Amino acid sequence: MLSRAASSLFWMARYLERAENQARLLDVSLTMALIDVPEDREEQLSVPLLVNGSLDIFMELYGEITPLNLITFLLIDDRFQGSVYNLFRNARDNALHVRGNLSSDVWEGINLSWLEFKELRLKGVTESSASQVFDWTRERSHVFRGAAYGTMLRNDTFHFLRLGTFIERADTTARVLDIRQQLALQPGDERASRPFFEWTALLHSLAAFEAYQTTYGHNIEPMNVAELLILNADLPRSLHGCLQEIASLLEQIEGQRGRRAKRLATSLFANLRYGDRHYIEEHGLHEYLADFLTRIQRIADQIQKDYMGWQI
Amino acid sequence: MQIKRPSAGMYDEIFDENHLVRPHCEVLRQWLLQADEHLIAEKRREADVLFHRLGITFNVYGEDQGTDRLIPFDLIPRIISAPEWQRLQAGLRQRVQALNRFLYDIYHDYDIIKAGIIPAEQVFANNQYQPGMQSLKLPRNIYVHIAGIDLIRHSDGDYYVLEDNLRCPSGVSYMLENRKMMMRLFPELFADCPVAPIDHYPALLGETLRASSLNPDPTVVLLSPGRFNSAYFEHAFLAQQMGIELVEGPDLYVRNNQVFMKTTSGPRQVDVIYRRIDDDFLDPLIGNPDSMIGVPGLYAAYRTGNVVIANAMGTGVGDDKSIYPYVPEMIRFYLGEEPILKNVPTWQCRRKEDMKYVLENLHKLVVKETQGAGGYGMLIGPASTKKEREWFKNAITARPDNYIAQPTLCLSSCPTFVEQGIAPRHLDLRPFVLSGKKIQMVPGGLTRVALKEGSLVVNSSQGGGTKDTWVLEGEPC
Amino acid sequence: MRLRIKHDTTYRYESPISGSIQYIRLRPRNTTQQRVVEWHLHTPGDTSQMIDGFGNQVTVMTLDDEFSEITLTAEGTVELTGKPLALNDSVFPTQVLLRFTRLTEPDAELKAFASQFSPNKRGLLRMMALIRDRIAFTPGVTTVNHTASEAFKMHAGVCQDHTHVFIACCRYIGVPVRYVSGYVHSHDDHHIATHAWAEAFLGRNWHTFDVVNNLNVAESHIKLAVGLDYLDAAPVRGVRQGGGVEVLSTVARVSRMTEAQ
Repeated sequence: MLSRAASSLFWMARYLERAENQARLLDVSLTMALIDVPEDREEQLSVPLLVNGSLDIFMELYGEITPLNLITFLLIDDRFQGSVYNLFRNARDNALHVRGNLSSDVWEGINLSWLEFKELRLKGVTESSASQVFDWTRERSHVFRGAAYGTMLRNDTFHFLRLGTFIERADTTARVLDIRQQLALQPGDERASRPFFEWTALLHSLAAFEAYQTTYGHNIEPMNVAELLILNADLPRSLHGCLQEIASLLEQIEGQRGRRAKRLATSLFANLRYGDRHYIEEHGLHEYLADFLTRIQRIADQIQKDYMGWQI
Repeated sequence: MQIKRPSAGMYDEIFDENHLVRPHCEVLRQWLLQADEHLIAEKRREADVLFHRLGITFNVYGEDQGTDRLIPFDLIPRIISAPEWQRLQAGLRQRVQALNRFLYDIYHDYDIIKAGIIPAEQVFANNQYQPGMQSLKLPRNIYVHIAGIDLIRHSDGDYYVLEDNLRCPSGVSYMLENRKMMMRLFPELFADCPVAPIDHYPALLGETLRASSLNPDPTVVLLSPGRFNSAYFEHAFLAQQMGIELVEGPDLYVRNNQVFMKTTSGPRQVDVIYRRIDDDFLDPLIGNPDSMIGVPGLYAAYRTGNVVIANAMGTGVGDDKSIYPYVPEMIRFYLGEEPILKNVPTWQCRRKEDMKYVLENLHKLVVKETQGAGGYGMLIGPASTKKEREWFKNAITARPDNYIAQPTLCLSSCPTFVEQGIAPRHLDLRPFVLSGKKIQMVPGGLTRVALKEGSLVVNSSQGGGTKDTWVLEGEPC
Repeated sequence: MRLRIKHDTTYRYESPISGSIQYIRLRPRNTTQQRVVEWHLHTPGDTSQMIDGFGNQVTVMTLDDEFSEITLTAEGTVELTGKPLALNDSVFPTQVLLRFTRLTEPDAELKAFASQFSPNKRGLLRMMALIRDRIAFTPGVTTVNHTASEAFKMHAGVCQDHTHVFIACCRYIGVPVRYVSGYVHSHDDHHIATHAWAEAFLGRNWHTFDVVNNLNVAESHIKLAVGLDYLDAAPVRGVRQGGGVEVLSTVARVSRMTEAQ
């Protein structure tokens, strides 16, 4: 397929995944801020900003971390490239590029998300209406995935689209896990309830709370959480799950290109598949995740270089 | 619902001079007479929502990126009877065939000029004449693969060709989507009426484009200027319907006089380019040096016969308003036939006696710029102010060869939903004619309607809307 | 007369370019006035050939590697026949050459200037002399984007501007005329040798109007390419990826060969 089309599909899917993840993160942070002790409220609220690295831009534009500022900034601010509004807009622009490759259901789904979000933005979002927006964002994401899964040919169009989804998802899972574990394991914090809060928030923001309970029961143990989110092959948002998809998708792409991307992905996949919790413990969770983030970034860059970048 | 009947002296597509529904439009009688205002309003809203969701919108330059506008769609179809379409089809076929012969001739042997039928200067000094097309051999000698011929019906009841569009005629996606919309909103109408299908147009277009190459299994792409172009939806739509790649200039490159596209599995040679970009922007090394939307080197590939461009470069000279008056003569000259479709009588201001007449009768005439398009640079005499006529008088005197004039035609009308009920509005018809192994078209075309009362300007850029166009198969219903 | 030409065109880039495609018109054709004895065009890239709509020999060159500098070298020997007039060798009807282009569209001032001349040889000779007097030969004040009307207002320009002004005026009074790019030999061997002039179609022949030199004969001119204006006949038109600022330098020498050579 056309290289530019592959790139548009890849980014379209990344933006949509990012929009959903952002909504989930913000949702959880707002809820946690309500039940947290007042002095830690700001820290709770800042999690989504730390995950997407937008704390500086936010402070410059708003100056103060309040729930409403945060909602405005992360959902509807057109000055911030990473706001859900801009993510939907960019996703729709990219979809327009590849309108001809998408099924009508997928295109119309994305176009409708954009049109509805524009309306929603005009109405404005408040603290009390925010949760409806979160629900809506999640729903639109499910519609997109469902339409893509249910109506698209399993050809390279589908493969590049799914690659975008899983690269973005792996990246988010690793980032959220890293930020939350740092907050949970802050030295000098004597409150016993704090880590519990953090790990619960983490599981909720990655839609993995039920999965944890099914797998490990009610006791929340940090290494269990890490094991679930990193090594469990059956959890859709685990690093293992994502890498399995990425490696397999790369295999299915037509043509002889992409040897380097395939090598990098397969090697990272093998690390996860044959890894265990002791290895992670020995390395330290933060170091392990930092290494993962570097490697997933390298795979994303290599995919773009191999298939989408062009040197005649 | 209140129905305003056409005024006397106008030809209406649905009501005859006695205000009775014409026999072939019988199916609409009940529907129109009993139309419930609320139901119609609801259907109109439904259509708007659906068009928005499908993304059948166009961008307006200079407006916020988020502003996507709809071309207004009117729910009352325009109906053409079977025998009438038979005659139109024969006339269109004849006309497009002659225009293709003309284009071949002016880039090769100049027979029509030598025969003294068209003055050499009219053709060769025309800005749309491409010296670069000189003696270039094209497969099947086809220049215009896709033509959009604008027809109007005058108060005498007969059709006239208003304009031939031989460059990148657009609007066919509206023709197709309008039909889909009507079938969705009013399925019961189609059950009672044998409306000829048009949904095979993309297949015919694909067939035409493939037939334009000598390669039996060519790679065809659609070259678009990109998503800021007002017709981008149509480009994406047609590419998707034909199953070909929608490319932009930077997706293509030229090596060894061959065109390649950049794909995820490496370079792939391109044989046919269905371009929706003007001649001057196709190759910055030969046309406009600032063009960012073209493909550097494309002209060399074209000139050496390694790629087909559809429509060919240099077709604009064939649809120029200064060439238009000669089309009936072309048909006689190349085909030895009498023209089936009428031309609108035209005064060419470059002729002294014509100019004199035009200047004396500005208030009665429509004056057009020979190289203008889209309803700009036009004077509609009867509706003009003294100041406008003064302006045109000076302009014509300064550059007579830039202007032609035509009598003010009374475009036929068709009942249309307006603010207060139903009222007659003027319309035209643009059928799309495809030239490949043979000349083909789907029955009908795009009907454009002037939504302002009394207006004769149907262009969407000037507030025009569209309607579904029904050609009846066999017996009227 | 036999002339020997060596012409180097060098482009230097601020940073390396990573790809380029160029249309190069640096190959003379045989005409009634010139015969190509031998000719070579050296380029650093892959080349293919085409003949454009004006009948010019165009070399299409592509580069895919990195270059900080590229040099095009044209060299060869051309015999001038000494025939004063060129027969009609146009591949298309001369009326095409009546059309204005962006670069040759006259404004009111230029039209007023042009209308004082008759569309015949005497008129054109007088026009040429007046244009030469009005526009001082001044390198560096105009670029390839300046129009005839602009150069006329500025009273300054180079051979390309003189030629555009002459062309705009000829077309305005109804004389078909074309732009010619090529080389000229002057008795001083070191004089600048790349040149542009016009050819007007009068009666049945092409007449040379070398405005800068106020010459009406092509006694020492070698024709490379013709067109409606500079853009059609330019020796090189190209696009490139990257490179930053470009510095162009041209060295062309035309020398007369003795019988012994």
